[in-house]
Amino acid sequence: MRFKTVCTGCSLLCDDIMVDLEGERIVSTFNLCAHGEEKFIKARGTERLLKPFVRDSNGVREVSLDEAAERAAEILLNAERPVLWGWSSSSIEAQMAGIELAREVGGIIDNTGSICHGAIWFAASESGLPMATLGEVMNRADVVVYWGSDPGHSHPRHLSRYSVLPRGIYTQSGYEQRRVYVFDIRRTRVGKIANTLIELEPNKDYELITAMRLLLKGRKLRVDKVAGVSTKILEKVIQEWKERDFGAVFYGMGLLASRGKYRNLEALLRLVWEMNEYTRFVVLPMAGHFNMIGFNHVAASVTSYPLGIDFSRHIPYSNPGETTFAEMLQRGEVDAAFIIGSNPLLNFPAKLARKLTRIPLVVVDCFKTLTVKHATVAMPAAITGIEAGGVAYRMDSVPIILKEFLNPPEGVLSDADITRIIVEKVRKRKN
Amino acid sequence: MSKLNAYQVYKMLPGINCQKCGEPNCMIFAVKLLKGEKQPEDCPPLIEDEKYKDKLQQLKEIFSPKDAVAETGLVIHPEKCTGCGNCVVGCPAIAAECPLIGSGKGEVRDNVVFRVENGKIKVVDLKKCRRYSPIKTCRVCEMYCFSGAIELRTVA
Repeated sequence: MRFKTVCTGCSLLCDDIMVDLEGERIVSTFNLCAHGEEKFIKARGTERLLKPFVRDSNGVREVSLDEAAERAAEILLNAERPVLWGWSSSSIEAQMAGIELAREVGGIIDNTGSICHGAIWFAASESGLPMATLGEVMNRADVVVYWGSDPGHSHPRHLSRYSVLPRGIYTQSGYEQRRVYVFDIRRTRVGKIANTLIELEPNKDYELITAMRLLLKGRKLRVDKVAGVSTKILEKVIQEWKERDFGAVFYGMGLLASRGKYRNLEALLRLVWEMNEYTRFVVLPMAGHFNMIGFNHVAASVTSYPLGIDFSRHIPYSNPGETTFAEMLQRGEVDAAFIIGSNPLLNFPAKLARKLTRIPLVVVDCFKTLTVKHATVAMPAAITGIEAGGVAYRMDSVPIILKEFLNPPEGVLSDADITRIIVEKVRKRKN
Repeated sequence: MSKLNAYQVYKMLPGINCQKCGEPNCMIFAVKLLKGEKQPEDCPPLIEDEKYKDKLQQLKEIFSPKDAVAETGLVIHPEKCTGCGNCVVGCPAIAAECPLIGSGKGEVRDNVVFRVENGKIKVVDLKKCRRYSPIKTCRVCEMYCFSGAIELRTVA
């Protein structure tokens, strides 16, 4: 049986994946990239977490889901500053339940965006966010800029589905009509196929963007080189951009992780904003996890803050740096953590990971990750997009409906259901 | 063969402009021969007249149909492929055959040059490739390949 489905390998959420299914076995897949293929293969791999377990003084023992949820509720209620972390690989239904859980236990809910692409909301609140959907980029864009991002590694199908190669309504000639500009510190995969590759010096993004803003305003620069790039090249680039019809800037972690952090993005947003005086220019994040942007939208609509929301005062409160997970962990504030769909023990710096091993961890995950192996309570979850449905937000904030096509292993529920069960247990204990 | 021009091919033809092949003159026949639209056997005097035997043999060696891989020079390294599909969407032959694939929307077809299957690029029908003709100028798939999985070797 051949049918169409959505891939949840990255936040591009390609909705043209064809899968040949024979009973419960995936025979072959079409149009999947390496990221998605890995996810589809892993769904039936040996690394799945199948039974909930609890770790106590007697060691590890397998328990029922009910008992594990009871223990999780106990840990979260006994803690003073519990943090609910992850949520970027869950459906928005699970995220809604997660916010409810944070409210019930008076904890902090934060998603992986706070160490990643969450900076877009801080920068946008200062500079505004000129955005478009990827469909608009496909149909109109004749300038495509990749700044500090390499879709060749992170989003393999980005170029072939939306930005450079497809032939859209006003871009009938496809790649012949578009010009690709890559700003990076090295010759990346996408840099290989760019029309103009600008290799700037590391940590000098802010300097370069400011110089480009000056050039855009018609000022002359007194120096020959800015951030290792010739001023003449920059002048040429700005002139070319002005003459084009529609430009799309895709920024990645290269911009956000270099010196200046979200201020770099703020400057880039201002540059894009000023470009709009001459032509249409938009900026889009190259978000990683498939529903990272979704959490920010859900949290902002429910609590008015995009991430790092503290419920300990019974009203939502957020102050990035004070109520975000990594900083709290660094200060030693966290005394219990609920981790869903994330692997912080592997991803965090060793110092923070070591601190994380000293506190009780409640982990909900599909696979036997390093964090699951150190968990106090672990609960298996169905893979969203393959074994469980839901809604996820694409990188351009377009909601995409995910549908399940395989049955989850016996006794395994979706992360939304598991979170709801824990919310029920917490409510029962409080009364 | 890619180095041959129409005049060199014309010199191998009888050059009598008999119009038996349906073309106005031998020069146009030479151009069509290069494009792959005609075969050496389509020229009646070449076959009928004994004195053109050597020329026919020479032309047959140059324009003999080879297998598709040898003809296009396309070599795929599956271990390097990331399944991005740049080659599939960029390919002008696929876009002409199926505009939906050309506009980035994946569709599973059996009459295209290649498609992405199980996360890797797979050749389906190489005879649809634009390089499957004596003029081998198209290099889009190689140009837009991120990972160097597609290599177009020079064909002698």
